[in-house]
Formats: sequence, structure tokens, C-alpha cells
Amino acid sequence: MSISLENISKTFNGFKALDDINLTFEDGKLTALLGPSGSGKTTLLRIVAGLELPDEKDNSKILFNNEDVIDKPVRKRQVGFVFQHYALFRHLSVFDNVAFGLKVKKRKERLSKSEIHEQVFELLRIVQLDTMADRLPSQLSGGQRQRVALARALAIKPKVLLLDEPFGSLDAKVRAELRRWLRKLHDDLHITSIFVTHDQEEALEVSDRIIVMNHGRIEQVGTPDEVFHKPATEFVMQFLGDVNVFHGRVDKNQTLLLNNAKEEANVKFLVRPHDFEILLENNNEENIFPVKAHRILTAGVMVKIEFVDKSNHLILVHLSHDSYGEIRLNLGDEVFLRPKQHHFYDN
Amino acid sequence: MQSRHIEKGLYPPFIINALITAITLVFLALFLILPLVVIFGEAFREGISIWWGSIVEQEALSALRLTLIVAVIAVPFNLFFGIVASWALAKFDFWGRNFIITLIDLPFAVSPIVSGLIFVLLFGIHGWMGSWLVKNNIQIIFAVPGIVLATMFVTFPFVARELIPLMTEQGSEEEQAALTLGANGWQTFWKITLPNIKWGLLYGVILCNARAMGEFGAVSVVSGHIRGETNTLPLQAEILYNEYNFTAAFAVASLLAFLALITLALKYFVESRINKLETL
Repeated sequence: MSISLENISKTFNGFKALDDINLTFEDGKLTALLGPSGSGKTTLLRIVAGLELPDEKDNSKILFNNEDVIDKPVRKRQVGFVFQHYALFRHLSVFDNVAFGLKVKKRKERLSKSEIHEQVFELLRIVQLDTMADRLPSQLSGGQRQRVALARALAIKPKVLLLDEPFGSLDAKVRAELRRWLRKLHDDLHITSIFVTHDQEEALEVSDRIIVMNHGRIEQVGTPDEVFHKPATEFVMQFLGDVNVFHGRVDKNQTLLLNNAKEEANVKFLVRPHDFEILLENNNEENIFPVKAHRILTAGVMVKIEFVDKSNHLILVHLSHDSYGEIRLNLGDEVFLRPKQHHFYDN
Repeated sequence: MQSRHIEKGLYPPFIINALITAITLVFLALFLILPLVVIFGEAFREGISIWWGSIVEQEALSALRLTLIVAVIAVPFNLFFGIVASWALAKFDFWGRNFIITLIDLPFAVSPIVSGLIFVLLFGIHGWMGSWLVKNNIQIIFAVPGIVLATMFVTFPFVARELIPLMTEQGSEEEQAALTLGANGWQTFWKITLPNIKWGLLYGVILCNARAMGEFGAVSVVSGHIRGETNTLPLQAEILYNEYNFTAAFAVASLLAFLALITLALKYFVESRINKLETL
């Protein structure tokens, strides 16, 4: 099922959490809503679910396929919602948590007891918790609780799965594991899914599409490749990883001038740490910085080097261990940096 | 060696420790256990048959009946409104919320005598609604309705006080989850909200009930002390005492004390249940 939002705004006590959002979530895709806290991503998710109502406007629409559900209450929207802190029913067993959505149905729509039992165990097998059916949520680990929450949301055969920071409160290792697992689950079920995250790595790794949000507005919509390699705005570029910011100039006849002379600058140049080439000599090319190695961190996947330029500006460079071995750099060495790739945005 | 050193610094010397413990125990014995012993001692001084005679005496029985009637009306009322008020105050944020939470404590803050007087001023013959009530032949003050009203007022905070922090802490995420799973409001309340608060609720009800049966001040003002009609157990005990009928007074008092012991036992059980749930 595809979901479209038209002219959706939300104001909390004068604070604009969402500013006229128009957006389509494609059918069967796993979409990430990515942004810093306060960017409105969770509000947007809750509005899709019906847990929050958008500001009243005549032209506001929330379309599930082509049906406007803006006036439908949460319980009739048939959305699977996974809460950040799981929100498991603490007094019910794992089995009863998952069975809840099936048991509260109207009598004539309700399945028989044995059918419910069967369906719940099928879901518990999918989330690999069939041996824990009798436990209470408090007897489970964080990762297990999150899986129960997911099984519970899937039990109602939702048209769309909404996940609010699903891995936010788990430790790094479990998080990475569940991330892969969620992706696999999505590939098996193909249910339209939207998940909220502030972790760019998570969004880049798991999703088919990413919607980057900031200050209640959409900054960019695209595939992980597009937002990472072709960031539409300075914010997107900054949010998706470390960047070095330079001031420069773009003229009609001359493409760029990289330096830190701010007076003449009319654009900002953003260069990712891994997009530099280190030259031992100045070959008189343009756009080259003389720098001094200030700090070298070799523990990690990449070698991280902090350089300082003439005006004591810090420049962060990431290098593979191989390339680092070739140039044999020492602290205090004076070398030259040449950006291999850059993005520029109006000042 | 080192750990003993540290422990020495942490705990007071044996003598002081023993002294503090002894003072506490003596204090407890004097102020809590001794009165209880005296009540039962005095009640049974002239034998169990005299005690039983004082209990089944008509005025005492009618006082017991009235006390039970008042509790049976006031406690469910406070149970219902306590849940409604806590639910509204804990799960929603609105303008004036904190003021209302403070207002709920009003019955605790004012003297019970004042609470009783409020109702006399409202419903007494010379009160605001007095002439209307007289005209329609409704009697509230110096009658059972007044006693029930005063008791409800005085015991109102118990359930709400117990539930508001509990429900605030639990938040409303579980209810939201239930809604997304297709439950309606009613199902959400019965299957999610109520089970989550049941122990706290029971605790509040026990305290509310104890106070409803034991309330003296407010009830005394509105009761009129009509023998066999508007006397509750605490009022009856006082009347008998003032008439130097000590054995009967203590017999009635022993009923109340017995009730207090049951309340304590229940409270202990519920508390240990709550603690167990919290450590899970």
C-alpha cells in the first residue's frame, strides 16, 4: 500500500513541528525518516498512524492507497506501530501480547481460539521467540522485547508497518544484528514500512529510500546512494557524515577557488574526510592546501588524521591503512591536500 | 582488614546503635502497641460475654450498620471518581492540571471539622440550600446523606493520590499500542489500564475504606448524634465513653481497632505484592 501525505502541518503550542509536508511512501518499500531530534520525524510517523492529528486545514490529506484516512481513528487504520520503548503490555505474557490484536476483534471477525494460537506461534517463530511464549516482558532482554513488539504489530496483518526509533534503546551489537534481521524480514514480507531514526548509518544500511528532515521540513528524498553521494543541501551533507567546510568562490570563467579568505567567498565547499588526496609536494595545481599533520589515529578501520592549515583551521582526513603506509606520514610533517570530490552550496 | 575499617566508619558504634534501637522500640511500644493492648484489655475486662453484649446492643448494632452503609457508598464512589480523575490527570496534559492535582489534596489539608462545617453551611437549615431542602422535605444534615457526603469528601484523595503518580509513571504508550492494535477505548481500559493499576488501586481502596469507617471529625459535625440513627462506630464509642460506660465504649472501640488490624494486614500484603512486581 502506498501512503501519500498532502499539505500536512503540525503545531505544538506555537512550535511548528511539521511545516506543510507533501510526501509519498512507495508501496512495498522500506523508507527511513532521518533527522536530528526535533526535526519532526516522529510527529510525522505518529500522524500517519493516527496517534497525532495534523493541524486542521481543508486541503490536508493522508491517503492510504487512494483513500483519505485523515478522519479515521487509530484503531481503524490498521497500522502496525512499533514504539521506541516497546510499549509491551507488562502484565501479559509474550503470547498474550502478540495475541492482543487478534483477541480484541469483534466477535464475528474474530478467529477461533486454536486459529489465534496457531497464528501467534507462527509469528513467534518468525521472530524466533516461540520458546518464550509464557514469559513476561520484564523477563526478556531489550532485543527480545523489540521482537515481541514487532510480532505484536504484525499480528493484525497491518497495511503498513511504522517503527519509531526501533533500535534506539539497544546496545550497538544487538542493534546491528536486529538491523540486518529487519531488512531480511522486510524482504520476506514486502510490507510497506516506515521507520524513524536519527542514526544515518542505520538509515543508509537498512532502507530503500531515505527522507531527510530538518526543522519540520523535508530536505531531501532519495535512495541511500543519492542522499549520500548527491546531498541536495548543506544540511544533508553535514548530517550524513563528517565534513570539512571551506569557503570559496565560483565565478563565470573560473570554477573554484579554495581558501579561507572569507571576504571574497560566495560559496561553501564541503569535502568529506575520505575525499582528499595527500600530496608530498606542491605541483602548482590550483585548489591545494599546505597543511601540517597535527594528530594521527591509527586504531580503527580507517586512519584518521587531523591536519591544521595556515590559519590553524582543523581539517579531518580519513585514509585507508594501505595509503597511509605508502606516504609514511609523521606528526608535524608538512604536506599538501587536494580535494578529490567536493560539494558546494551557496553561502 | 580494609573493609572492616571502612565499615567502622560507616556504622555508629555498638552502644549508640543499641541506644537508638532501644529508644525506637520503647517509643513504638508506648505510642502504638500499648494503646492497642489497652483497648482490647479494657474491652474484654469483664469477660467475653459482656463484650459480646455491648456489641449486639441495639444502638451499637445500628452504629455498625450505619458505618458499613457509609463505607459501602463512599468507597465505590471514590473508587470510580478516583480512577476517572487520575486517568484524566495522568494521561493528559492540559491547562490547570497542576492546580487540580493540588485541589484533590484539599480534604487532607483542611481540618475534618471544617469539612463537616462546609456541608452544614451548604445543606443545613440556615445554609445556602437550606430553605429549598426544607421546602422539598429533604434532610441531609443530621441524617445519613450528610454523613455519607462528609465521608466521601474526607476520603476523596486516597484513591486518586495513589493512582496519579502510578499512572503518570506508566505513561500512555501501552494504551496507544492497544489502540493501534484495534482495541476500542473500553477494551483498552479493561484490558490494559486497569490491570496495570490494580495493586495501587487496591492499596488506595484499603486506605480509603479504613478512613471511611474511622472518620470522626467531619461526621461528628453533620451527624447530630441521634442515637440509633445517625451515630457511626467512632461517634458511638465517644458517646459511651462520655457516659462513663467504659466497657461498652471500649468494646465498640475494639471493633474499630480490629478493623484497623485487618486493614494493616491487607495493606502489608498488597505492599509486598507491589514491591515484588517492581523488582521483576
